[in-house]
Amino acid sequence: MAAGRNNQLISVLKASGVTKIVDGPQGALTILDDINFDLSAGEKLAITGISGSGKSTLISLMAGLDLPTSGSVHLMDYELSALDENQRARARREHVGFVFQAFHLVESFTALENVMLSLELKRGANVRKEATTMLERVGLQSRMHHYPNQLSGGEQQRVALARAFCAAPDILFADEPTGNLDHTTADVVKNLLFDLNQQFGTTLVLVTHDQTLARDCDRGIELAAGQIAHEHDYAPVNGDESAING
Amino acid sequence: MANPTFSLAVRLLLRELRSGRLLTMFAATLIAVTATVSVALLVERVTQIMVAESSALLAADLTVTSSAAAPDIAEAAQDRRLATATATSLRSVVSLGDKLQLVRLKAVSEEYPLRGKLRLAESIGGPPNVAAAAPGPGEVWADTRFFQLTGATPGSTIGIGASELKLTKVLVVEPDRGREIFSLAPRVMMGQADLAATQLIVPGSRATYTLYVAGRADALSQFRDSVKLTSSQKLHDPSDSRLEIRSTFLQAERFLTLAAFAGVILATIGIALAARAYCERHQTTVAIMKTMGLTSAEVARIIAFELFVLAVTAALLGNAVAFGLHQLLADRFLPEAALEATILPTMPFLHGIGIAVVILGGFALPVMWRLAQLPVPSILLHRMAQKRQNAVVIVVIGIVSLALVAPWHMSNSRVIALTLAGMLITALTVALAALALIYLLRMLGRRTALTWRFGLANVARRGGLSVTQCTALGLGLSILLLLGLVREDLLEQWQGRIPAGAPNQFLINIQPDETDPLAEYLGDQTGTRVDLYPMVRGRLSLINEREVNPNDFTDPRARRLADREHNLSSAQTLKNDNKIIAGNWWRAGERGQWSVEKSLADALGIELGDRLTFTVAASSVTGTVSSIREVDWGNFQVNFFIVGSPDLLTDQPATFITSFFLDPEDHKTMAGLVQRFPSVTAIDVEAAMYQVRLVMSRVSAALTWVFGFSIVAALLVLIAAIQSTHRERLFDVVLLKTLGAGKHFVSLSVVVEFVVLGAIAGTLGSLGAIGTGWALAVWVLQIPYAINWSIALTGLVATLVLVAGIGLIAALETHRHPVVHGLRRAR
Repeated sequence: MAAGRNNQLISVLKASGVTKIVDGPQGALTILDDINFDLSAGEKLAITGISGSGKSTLISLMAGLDLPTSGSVHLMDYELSALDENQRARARREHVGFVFQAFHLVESFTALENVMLSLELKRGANVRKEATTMLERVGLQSRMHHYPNQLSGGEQQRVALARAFCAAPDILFADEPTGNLDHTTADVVKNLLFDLNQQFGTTLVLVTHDQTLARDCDRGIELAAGQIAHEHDYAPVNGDESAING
Repeated sequence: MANPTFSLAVRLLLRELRSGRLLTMFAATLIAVTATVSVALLVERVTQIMVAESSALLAADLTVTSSAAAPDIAEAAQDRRLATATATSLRSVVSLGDKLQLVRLKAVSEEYPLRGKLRLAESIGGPPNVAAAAPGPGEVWADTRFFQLTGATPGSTIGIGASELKLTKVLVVEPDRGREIFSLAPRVMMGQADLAATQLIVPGSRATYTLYVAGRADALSQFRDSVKLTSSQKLHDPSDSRLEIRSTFLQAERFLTLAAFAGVILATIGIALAARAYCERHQTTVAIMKTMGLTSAEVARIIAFELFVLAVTAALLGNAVAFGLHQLLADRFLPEAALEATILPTMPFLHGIGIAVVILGGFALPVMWRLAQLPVPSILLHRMAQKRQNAVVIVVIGIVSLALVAPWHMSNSRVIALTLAGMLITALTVALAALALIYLLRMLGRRTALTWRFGLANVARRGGLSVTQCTALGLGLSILLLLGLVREDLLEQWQGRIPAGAPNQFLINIQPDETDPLAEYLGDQTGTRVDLYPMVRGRLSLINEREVNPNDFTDPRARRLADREHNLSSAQTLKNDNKIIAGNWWRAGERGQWSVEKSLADALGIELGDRLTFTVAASSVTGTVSSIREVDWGNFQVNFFIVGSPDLLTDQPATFITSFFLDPEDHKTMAGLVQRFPSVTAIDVEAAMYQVRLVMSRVSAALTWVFGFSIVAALLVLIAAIQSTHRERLFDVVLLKTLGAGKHFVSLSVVVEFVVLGAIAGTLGSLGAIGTGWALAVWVLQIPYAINWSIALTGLVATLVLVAGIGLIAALETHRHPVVHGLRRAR
């Protein structure tokens, strides 16, 4: 761990009283209710919970893709609720990376072009070499010029990881990164995710159903009905996890 | 665009083009622009040719006639670098030995004619050749009638006023004689330089001075706008040429405008469908770009840039292809001389670019713009239903885009507006009817076999998309059928106007005792029965006991009509080509009634019940107007402005007139006729008819070509419509196969889906075409409209077969890939 827990004094993400209420067919629906947590640089946080517990909404709010109904989210030096859409986008461009369950590669781009995209958005042209190196690191040197529909699910997710990490984000949001993959492939992707995370010293927010995957993080929060039901410390202090709360 | 967004946009576009994902939209835009521009090029070229043909009938692009020479107007034209020529026409008596003959004398300047050609023969009946110049000094030409009436021969000397001039050639074709085709006086043409010496022009002479003007359209337009005419001066343009040619041109121009607009509508549907597929495919890209930190505005700018570059590239390429096609086809279809006389119009090229940019922008940009504003989770989770673009907004944008790119510059805004309205009503009707039918099919489908059930369920399940497909296909078919139906009607009407065997010879001055032997002679020679009509010359002297004075009328035509002698005729029965529009034709035994042609009645303000008195020779003939008639003046049949009941003209000195068809190669019959009936005057209108036929055949060929191009554009719509559900269908097929469905079942269910779509679109499209066709025929083209069920049925069947066929190909295509590949492609 390059940054690890030694850097925990530097807060990169902080949720304070985050609540999200949306209009539903039967009136207002509370998706998230008073979520509070703090994440330090280099930390790996797992967000778990059953379907519909609010995990994906929480990640969207943390990344500034959406705004909370009340409460605040601090990402790096920004208070996201105080930023307009453009400022939030710039904050994401500078500090945030994403990996999705459904990979979400650009269909009309090859693997290489997909990886180049995130670098180009951040730094402009002449990024081919870096993107190529990154794809080699995820073991896809022979698949660089393939389009997404010519790649397997595991390969697509490796491209997504390469795309996310090559821009060296400060914080990476991974929404069920192994959710669409079989066990073996999921293991490959998981190892790759943590390896890269360690190499780049990235702060990781991981949404998952997979408890094994969650336990590879430093700590976790478990959502139930939009609230934090449990907080877990997975750090191998005493060799096993211990529930802090709940 | 701020860096790095612009360079990023360029790179994204290049990558997308390379990947082939933009190919459908690029191809749709390319074909749409090619089809529209090449149709428009041809339309404008044909219009120019039509104007040139009309100009030839005027011997100029414009003429100004007046009762006194107008050198200032000629100078104004010359100042604008326009070519000018002049002519002085007057009635005069010329002498040949001791014979005197009243003629229409025309003295022309060296430059005459500016448009069209003079044709001369060395002898009567000799082959005509194009005249190299106007008559030289001391030289005079005369038409066949002059030679017939006076017995002169080429080489004779004739006296005109104080001059003696040598008659050298037979004047066969005089381009601007068209408007005076039935003028009875023989025509004599001389050089203007000789006119003064004749001493015919003295103060008070009733001569008509004509200034001929020709040149570039813009200079002509400026001249026309700037010239100040007095009340005795009148400006004529090509639209004043012969009625039948004018109406043919007008109808052809309107049809071609309609065809060009139809091309634009078809192109719009094709591009709009492709744009829809583009938007679907770009949802994820937009979301990805936003998660990576691009702002909504930056994403929107990238999309706008991509669409703009795509549109302009496709438009430029489309313009180039259209130009190539136009050159290729114009060389084949349009006469060389006509091509030389016209210039390649530039407006269609600009219009092509406008179409691509506006339509692509109009249909794709709002959707993509909206997408760029949506929160990323909504896009990624496809939770856009509630925030989807309001359908009304999309329709409004579509209509505005279409109205913006409509070819308003192609002269007739009424055609455009009516077509636009017709197509919008058709689209709305088709959409609503398709919605209702799809609902019905959903109900019906539950009781059918599995393949049908699945196919019908697919149509119903993709409700919105199916309605879009049906509307696009229905509208495409409707436009195509509309062009087909209207074209058929036009061609039929034109062919009917001068049918094969239409009269090309007129005989006048037939004495009453010559009618029977002449009819018998012509019957023997031509094998047909001729009808002879009595004709009495009379001047309208009183309307309801009030004296008719030309000065009481302001309209020049009304003045002329009030001033001249009319050819009056009488008949017991109404001719087939006449139609009573007010009042009633007289019954047997009814007396003292006139029937008046509508345009004459309108000009002179004559109404039913008015009492008209004509002065015939020394007596008066009075009757009451009992009917107003419409007359088809374009069919070359004998017709009269004023017809009386048989009793009115019984005691008047009548001669008879007839018309008949004579094989142009048959010179014997006329020679025999002149010998046997020396007092009868023959007028040959074969040359004028040839001109009309030539124009019509050229325009007909152009219509067919334009129609062909519209078919290509409609096929584009078909492909784009079917392509629009390709992704969803592929997923369905893969799913069916995964569940164990065989090839036969899969193919059949896909074909069922397309047969249903084709049937709905075909039926509704045919009905839409019939409705719009009727409106256009009646309100714009003013031609009789009979529903052509065979064309409508052919359209329906063709749509059904084509759509089902393409559906089958689509189904077979899905079999080519293993299920696993299909799953990935569908994803």
